[in-house]
Amino acid sequence: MSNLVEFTGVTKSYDGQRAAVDNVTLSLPKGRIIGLLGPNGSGKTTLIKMMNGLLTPTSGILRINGQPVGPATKARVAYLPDRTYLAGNKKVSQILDYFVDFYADFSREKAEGMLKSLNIEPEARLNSLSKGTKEKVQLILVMSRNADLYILDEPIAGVDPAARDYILRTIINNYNPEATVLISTHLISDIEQVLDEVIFMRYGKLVLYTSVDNIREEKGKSVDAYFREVFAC
Amino acid sequence: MLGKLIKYEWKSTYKMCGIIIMVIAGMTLVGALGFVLPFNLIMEDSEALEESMMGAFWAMMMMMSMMLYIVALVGASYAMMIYLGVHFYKTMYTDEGYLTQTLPVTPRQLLFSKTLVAGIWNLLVGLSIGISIMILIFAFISSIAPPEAWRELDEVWREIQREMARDMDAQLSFSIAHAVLSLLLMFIVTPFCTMMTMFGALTIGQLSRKYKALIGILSYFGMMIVQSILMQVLQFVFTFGNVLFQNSIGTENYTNVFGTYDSSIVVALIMGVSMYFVAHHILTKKLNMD
Amino acid sequence: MAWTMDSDRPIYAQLVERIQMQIVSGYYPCGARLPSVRELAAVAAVNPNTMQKAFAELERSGLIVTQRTNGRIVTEDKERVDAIRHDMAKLHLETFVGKMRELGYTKEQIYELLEQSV
Repeated sequence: MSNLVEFTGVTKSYDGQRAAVDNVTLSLPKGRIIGLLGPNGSGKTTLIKMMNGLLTPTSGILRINGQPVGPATKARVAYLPDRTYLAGNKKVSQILDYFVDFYADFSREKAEGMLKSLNIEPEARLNSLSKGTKEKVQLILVMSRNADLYILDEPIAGVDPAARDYILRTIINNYNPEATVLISTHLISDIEQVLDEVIFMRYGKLVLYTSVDNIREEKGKSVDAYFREVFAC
Repeated sequence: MLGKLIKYEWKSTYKMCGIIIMVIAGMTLVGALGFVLPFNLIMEDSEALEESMMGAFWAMMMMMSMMLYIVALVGASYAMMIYLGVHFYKTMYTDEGYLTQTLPVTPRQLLFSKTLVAGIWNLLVGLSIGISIMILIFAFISSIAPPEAWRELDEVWREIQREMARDMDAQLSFSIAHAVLSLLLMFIVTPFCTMMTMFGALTIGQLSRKYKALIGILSYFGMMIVQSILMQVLQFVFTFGNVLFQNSIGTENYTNVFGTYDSSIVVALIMGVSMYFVAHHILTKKLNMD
Repeated sequence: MAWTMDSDRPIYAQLVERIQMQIVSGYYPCGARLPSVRELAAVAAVNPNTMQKAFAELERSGLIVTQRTNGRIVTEDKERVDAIRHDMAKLHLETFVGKMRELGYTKEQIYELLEQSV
């Protein structure tokens, strides 16, 4: 089994509308940090939600670890959505209990260490935390798992530079040659040097899938500059 | 995983559901006192009070507390249903659903855990209401009736038991056992089926692209209508069948009375089971989280 | 601090130059142990695979050596380091001379200027 994720002709469309994801065929290997790039509405989040079983593909085949999306793949995928999915009345420590119970690959020790380094009190209730801190708690939950695939949907949108730095460092420090990290973003320059590879999407279609150094070598410009050129409007 | 789901489902609902049951208990106390206090006062000095303003006042108070009690009980059972529906919807299909739906569990386990816990709460509320009404009846009788009345009531009860015992010997024994069983089944099975039907209807709303919550609520009312139509049809079949049966064997029989329970269990079961399959199908094949 | 990168060249090539510079300048002396790929990637805030690629390149050029017990160390071969230093110096000189010629300086003028500024 060579590839971690296999999309084969995957399409997601809603009645009478342009396909949100249009006939995407794509294989993602293990051990990479991959940027999923594209303007708003290009189908990034739709692609991600299908990988997490929150959307059902209209047609095509999607496999993770060689299996269709289901409980087995969910056990191996750590997902950071673009929203807060934690109930506000819970304590941080209660959420850790929850993750310990449901995810066999979750390390409570690691999570507690990361909380401590960010001065987040485990006995604090989610409601009492700022939006930014809540996002950090979610990132900690996701990165404290020892998953095969980490999917981070817009993790650095709307965070301050210090937080962005922390997020990128967390991703690098948790790098594992057996796991792949997929990061969707439209802020390319901020994360470019962390990425191995990039996927460009537009209008639900896959435009390009290549390595960052390939783009720099062949085009003589940064991925960010090239992206602006490709998506110039 | 199922056990853990049930544990967390219980943990996240017990506070609110506990409060509702406490409210029922509190209202029972108020209702019972509303009966006992004024009657005791009236009884103590009935002639003096009969024509006075005080008597009218107490009568009005009694009426008021009775009404408050009924409103509270009905309110509590509605509050429970609404709370359980909102809780299900919130944890399954809003932002919190992003966590629930990405847990490494099957849709079957999700539906089962949620229906089981909600069904237990529904059952407990039903039980509380039943006990509450019994306490109130007891309070009512004990307040208006002098102690001797209890002995008479006891006599009546013994009489009923003797009647029943006689009937037991006769062909009715089957009917009574049947009735008890039906009632018990209805009491235990219906709460779970009711919750499953509601959760299924809310899940149907997920098929809509834009108005998921609205369609979910509307389909719940739709299911209620379907359920009552089914009840009517089934009850008609039961009654009609009974009449035919009685005519053919030429005996008087009470089974037609119990047809109501039977048909309501059967309908609740049909609805619950079919809504389970509908919800399961949507969760596995048609889920579209916004 | 994260290392700043030029935007128009491959990141791994820039990492190679940077580490080369650190070695020839004596920041990492001969025989010194280098941080692990992961550590250095975290310091530089770059992708660990890219750092790995840079290390592989440095190994190929003989500047760093992988030891089974010690991890990666700077080569003990001082001549190798000096050779690389020389290469780098030549590269800088070539660029310098090229720029001066563009500015219209003659050989003698360049010597003179160099004499003054060194």
